[in-house]
Amino acid sequence: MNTPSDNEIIQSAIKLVNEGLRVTFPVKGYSMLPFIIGSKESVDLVKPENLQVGHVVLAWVEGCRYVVHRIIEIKGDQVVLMGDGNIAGVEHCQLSDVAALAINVVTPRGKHLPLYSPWRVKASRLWWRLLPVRRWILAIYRRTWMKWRY
Amino acid sequence: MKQKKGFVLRTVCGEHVIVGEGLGTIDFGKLISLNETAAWLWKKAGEMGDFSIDTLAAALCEEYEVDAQQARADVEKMVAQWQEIGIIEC
Repeated sequence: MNTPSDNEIIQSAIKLVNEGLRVTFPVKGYSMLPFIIGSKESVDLVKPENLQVGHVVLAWVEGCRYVVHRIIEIKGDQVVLMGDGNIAGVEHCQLSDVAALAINVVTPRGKHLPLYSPWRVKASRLWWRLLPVRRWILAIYRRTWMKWRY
Repeated sequence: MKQKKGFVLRTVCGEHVIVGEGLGTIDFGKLISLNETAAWLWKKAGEMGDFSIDTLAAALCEEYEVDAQQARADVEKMVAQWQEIGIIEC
Protein backbone atom coordinates (compact mmCIF):
# COMPACT_ATOMS: atom_id res chain seq x y z
CA MET A 1 0.00 0.00 0.00
CA ASN A 2 1.41 3.43 -0.97
CA THR A 3 1.87 5.92 1.84
CA PRO A 4 0.22 9.19 0.83
CA SER A 5 2.54 12.17 0.45
CA ASP A 6 2.27 15.25 2.64
CA ASN A 7 0.64 17.12 -0.23
CA GLU A 8 -1.95 14.39 -0.72
CA ILE A 9 -2.81 14.46 2.98
CA ILE A 10 -3.08 18.26 2.92
CA GLN A 11 -5.30 18.09 -0.15
CA SER A 12 -7.58 15.64 1.66
CA ALA A 13 -7.85 18.09 4.52
CA ILE A 14 -8.62 20.93 2.10
CA LYS A 15 -11.37 18.85 0.48
CA LEU A 16 -13.02 18.39 3.88
CA VAL A 17 -12.65 22.09 4.69
CA ASN A 18 -14.36 22.89 1.39
CA GLU A 19 -17.25 20.65 2.49
CA GLY A 20 -17.71 23.01 5.39
CA LEU A 21 -16.02 20.89 8.05
CA ARG A 22 -13.48 22.13 10.53
CA VAL A 23 -10.26 20.14 10.33
CA THR A 24 -7.67 19.90 13.08
CA PHE A 25 -4.38 19.52 11.26
CA PRO A 26 -0.92 18.89 12.75
CA VAL A 27 1.71 21.47 11.85
CA LYS A 28 5.36 20.70 11.14
CA GLY A 29 8.43 22.85 11.61
CA TYR A 30 9.17 26.02 13.53
CA SER A 31 8.28 28.67 10.98
CA MET A 32 5.31 29.90 13.01
CA LEU A 33 7.03 30.29 16.37
CA PRO A 34 6.19 31.58 18.88
CA PHE A 35 2.48 31.35 18.14
CA ILE A 36 2.36 27.78 16.80
CA ILE A 37 4.87 25.11 17.80
CA GLY A 38 5.26 22.68 14.92
CA SER A 39 5.46 18.95 15.59
CA LYS A 40 3.62 19.52 18.90
CA GLU A 41 0.62 21.70 18.11
CA SER A 42 -2.08 21.59 15.46
CA VAL A 43 -4.33 24.20 13.91
CA ASP A 44 -8.07 24.21 13.31
CA LEU A 45 -8.72 24.96 9.65
CA VAL A 46 -11.93 26.34 8.16
CA LYS A 47 -13.01 27.77 4.79
CA PRO A 48 -11.01 30.92 3.99
CA GLU A 49 -13.47 33.80 4.00
CA ASN A 50 -13.04 37.54 4.63
CA LEU A 51 -9.27 37.19 4.68
CA GLN A 52 -7.31 39.99 6.31
CA VAL A 53 -3.74 40.92 7.09
CA GLY A 54 -2.85 39.06 10.26
CA HIS A 55 -4.76 35.90 9.41
CA VAL A 56 -2.88 32.61 9.56
CA VAL A 57 -3.68 30.56 6.48
CA LEU A 58 -2.85 27.34 4.68
CA ALA A 59 -1.81 28.37 1.19
CA TRP A 60 -0.16 26.99 -1.93
CA VAL A 61 2.74 29.38 -2.43
CA GLU A 62 5.21 30.12 -5.18
CA GLY A 63 3.36 27.51 -7.21
CA CYS A 64 5.20 24.70 -5.49
CA ARG A 65 4.42 24.05 -1.81
CA TYR A 66 1.93 24.42 1.01
CA VAL A 67 2.67 26.57 4.03
CA VAL A 68 0.79 27.62 7.14
CA HIS A 69 1.92 31.24 7.50
CA ARG A 70 0.55 34.66 8.38
CA ILE A 71 -0.77 37.12 5.79
CA ILE A 72 1.31 40.29 5.93
CA GLU A 73 -0.07 42.02 2.86
CA ILE A 74 -3.02 41.76 0.50
CA LYS A 75 -2.96 43.82 -2.73
CA GLY A 76 -5.90 43.05 -4.96
CA ASP A 77 -5.76 39.30 -5.35
CA GLN A 78 -2.05 39.08 -4.54
CA VAL A 79 -1.18 37.81 -1.07
CA VAL A 80 2.15 38.03 0.73
CA LEU A 81 2.82 35.66 3.62
CA MET A 82 5.52 35.27 6.19
CA GLY A 83 6.15 32.73 8.92
CA ASP A 84 6.13 34.26 12.40
CA GLY A 85 9.25 32.27 13.18
CA ASN A 86 11.12 33.45 10.10
CA ILE A 87 13.48 36.38 10.25
CA ALA A 88 13.52 36.97 6.51
CA GLY A 89 11.81 35.67 3.40
CA VAL A 90 8.21 35.98 2.32
CA GLU A 91 5.98 33.90 0.11
CA HIS A 92 3.56 34.99 -2.57
CA CYS A 93 0.34 33.54 -3.82
CA GLN A 94 -3.03 34.57 -5.15
CA LEU A 95 -6.15 34.77 -3.02
CA SER A 96 -7.45 31.71 -4.83
CA ASP A 97 -4.39 29.76 -3.59
CA VAL A 98 -5.35 30.29 0.02
CA ALA A 99 -6.89 26.93 0.88
CA ALA A 100 -7.92 27.38 4.50
CA LEU A 101 -7.98 29.82 7.38
CA ALA A 102 -6.51 28.74 10.73
CA ILE A 103 -8.73 29.85 13.58
CA ASN A 104 -7.30 28.02 16.60
CA VAL A 105 -4.03 26.58 17.72
CA VAL A 106 -4.58 23.18 19.35
CA THR A 107 -2.28 22.04 22.15
CA PRO A 108 -1.15 18.41 22.53
CA ARG A 109 -3.66 18.12 25.39
CA GLY A 110 -6.48 19.07 23.04
CA LYS A 111 -7.07 22.65 24.14
CA HIS A 112 -8.32 24.84 21.29
CA LEU A 113 -6.93 28.37 21.72
CA PRO A 114 -8.29 31.12 19.42
CA LEU A 115 -5.62 32.66 17.19
CA TYR A 116 -7.42 35.99 17.01
CA SER A 117 -8.25 36.69 20.64
CA PRO A 118 -7.55 40.34 21.50
CA TRP A 119 -4.29 39.59 23.29
CA ARG A 120 -3.03 37.29 20.54
CA VAL A 121 -3.82 39.90 17.90
CA LYS A 122 -1.93 42.52 19.94
CA ALA A 123 0.94 40.08 20.47
CA SER A 124 1.18 39.29 16.76
CA ARG A 125 1.27 42.99 15.90
CA LEU A 126 4.00 43.57 18.47
CA TRP A 127 5.84 40.53 17.12
CA TRP A 128 5.76 42.07 13.64
CA ARG A 129 7.39 45.23 15.01
CA LEU A 130 10.05 43.09 16.68
CA LEU A 131 11.13 41.64 13.33
CA PRO A 132 14.63 43.21 13.53
CA VAL A 133 15.33 41.38 16.80
CA ARG A 134 13.30 38.19 16.23
CA ARG A 135 16.41 36.11 15.77
CA TRP A 136 17.59 36.65 19.33
CA ILE A 137 14.19 36.43 20.94
CA LEU A 138 13.53 33.15 19.16
CA ALA A 139 16.92 31.77 20.13
CA ILE A 140 16.13 32.42 23.78
CA TYR A 141 12.55 31.18 23.37
CA ARG A 142 13.63 27.86 21.86
CA ARG A 143 16.12 27.25 24.63
CA THR A 144 13.80 28.18 27.48
CA TRP A 145 10.02 28.56 27.23
CA MET A 146 9.54 26.03 24.44
CA LYS A 147 11.47 23.33 26.28
CA TRP A 148 9.57 23.97 29.48
CA ARG A 149 6.18 24.14 27.82
CA TYR A 150 6.25 20.67 26.25
CA MET B 1 -23.48 -2.63 21.33
CA LYS B 2 -23.62 0.36 19.04
CA GLN B 3 -21.39 2.95 17.47
CA LYS B 4 -20.89 6.14 19.43
CA LYS B 5 -22.40 9.18 17.76
CA GLY B 6 -20.04 11.34 15.78
CA PHE B 7 -17.70 8.61 14.52
CA VAL B 8 -17.94 8.43 10.76
CA LEU B 9 -16.24 6.31 8.09
CA ARG B 10 -14.54 8.44 5.44
CA THR B 11 -11.99 8.02 2.69
CA VAL B 12 -8.90 10.13 3.22
CA CYS B 13 -6.02 9.83 0.75
CA GLY B 14 -7.57 6.65 -0.60
CA GLU B 15 -7.67 4.99 2.82
CA HIS B 16 -10.69 4.09 4.93
CA VAL B 17 -10.53 6.03 8.16
CA ILE B 18 -12.88 6.56 11.07
CA VAL B 19 -12.97 10.16 12.13
CA GLY B 20 -14.60 11.72 15.15
CA GLU B 21 -16.84 14.44 13.74
CA GLY B 22 -18.15 15.86 16.97
CA LEU B 23 -19.30 19.43 16.34
CA GLY B 24 -18.36 19.08 12.67
CA THR B 25 -14.64 18.85 13.39
CA ILE B 26 -12.25 16.27 12.01
CA ASP B 27 -8.95 15.71 13.80
CA PHE B 28 -6.26 14.63 11.34
CA GLY B 29 -4.03 13.81 14.27
CA LYS B 30 -6.46 11.12 15.42
CA LEU B 31 -7.49 9.18 12.33
CA ILE B 32 -8.23 5.49 12.76
CA SER B 33 -7.21 3.65 9.63
CA LEU B 34 -9.06 0.49 8.56
CA ASN B 35 -8.50 -2.23 5.99
CA GLU B 36 -11.30 -3.18 3.57
CA THR B 37 -12.84 -5.83 5.84
CA ALA B 38 -12.71 -3.64 8.92
CA ALA B 39 -14.28 -0.76 6.98
CA TRP B 40 -17.05 -3.11 5.78
CA LEU B 41 -17.65 -4.32 9.34
CA TRP B 42 -17.89 -0.75 10.61
CA LYS B 43 -20.39 0.15 7.88
CA LYS B 44 -22.40 -2.99 8.65
CA ALA B 45 -22.39 -2.24 12.38
CA GLY B 46 -23.69 1.23 11.58
CA GLU B 47 -26.51 -0.19 9.43
CA MET B 48 -27.47 -2.61 12.20
CA GLY B 49 -27.62 0.11 14.84
CA ASP B 50 -27.62 -2.27 17.78
CA PHE B 51 -25.24 -5.12 17.01
CA SER B 52 -23.52 -8.01 18.75
CA ILE B 53 -20.45 -10.07 17.95
CA ASP B 54 -22.76 -12.88 16.80
CA THR B 55 -24.80 -10.75 14.41
CA LEU B 56 -21.72 -9.12 12.92
CA ALA B 57 -19.96 -12.48 12.56
CA ALA B 58 -23.03 -13.89 10.78
CA ALA B 59 -23.04 -10.91 8.40
CA LEU B 60 -19.32 -11.37 7.76
CA CYS B 61 -19.88 -15.06 6.88
CA GLU B 62 -22.60 -14.07 4.46
CA GLU B 63 -20.55 -11.41 2.72
CA TYR B 64 -17.17 -13.11 2.62
CA GLU B 65 -16.56 -16.83 2.31
CA VAL B 66 -15.17 -17.47 5.77
CA ASP B 67 -16.11 -20.16 8.26
CA ALA B 68 -18.14 -19.20 11.29
CA GLN B 69 -15.32 -19.79 13.79
CA GLN B 70 -12.85 -17.59 11.89
CA ALA B 71 -15.50 -14.92 11.38
CA ARG B 72 -16.31 -14.82 15.09
CA ALA B 73 -12.64 -14.65 16.04
CA ASP B 74 -12.05 -11.77 13.59
CA VAL B 75 -15.11 -9.87 14.74
CA GLU B 76 -14.22 -10.35 18.42
CA LYS B 77 -10.77 -8.91 17.75
CA MET B 78 -12.18 -5.99 15.78
CA VAL B 79 -14.84 -5.16 18.38
CA ALA B 80 -12.23 -5.31 21.17
CA GLN B 81 -10.15 -2.73 19.26
CA TRP B 82 -13.19 -0.48 18.79
CA GLN B 83 -13.92 -0.71 22.52
CA GLU B 84 -10.32 0.08 23.39
CA ILE B 85 -10.30 3.15 21.13
CA GLY B 86 -13.65 4.17 22.57
CA ILE B 87 -15.76 4.39 19.42
CA ILE B 88 -18.51 1.98 20.44
CA GLU B 89 -20.69 1.72 23.50
CA CYS B 90 -22.22 -1.34 25.14
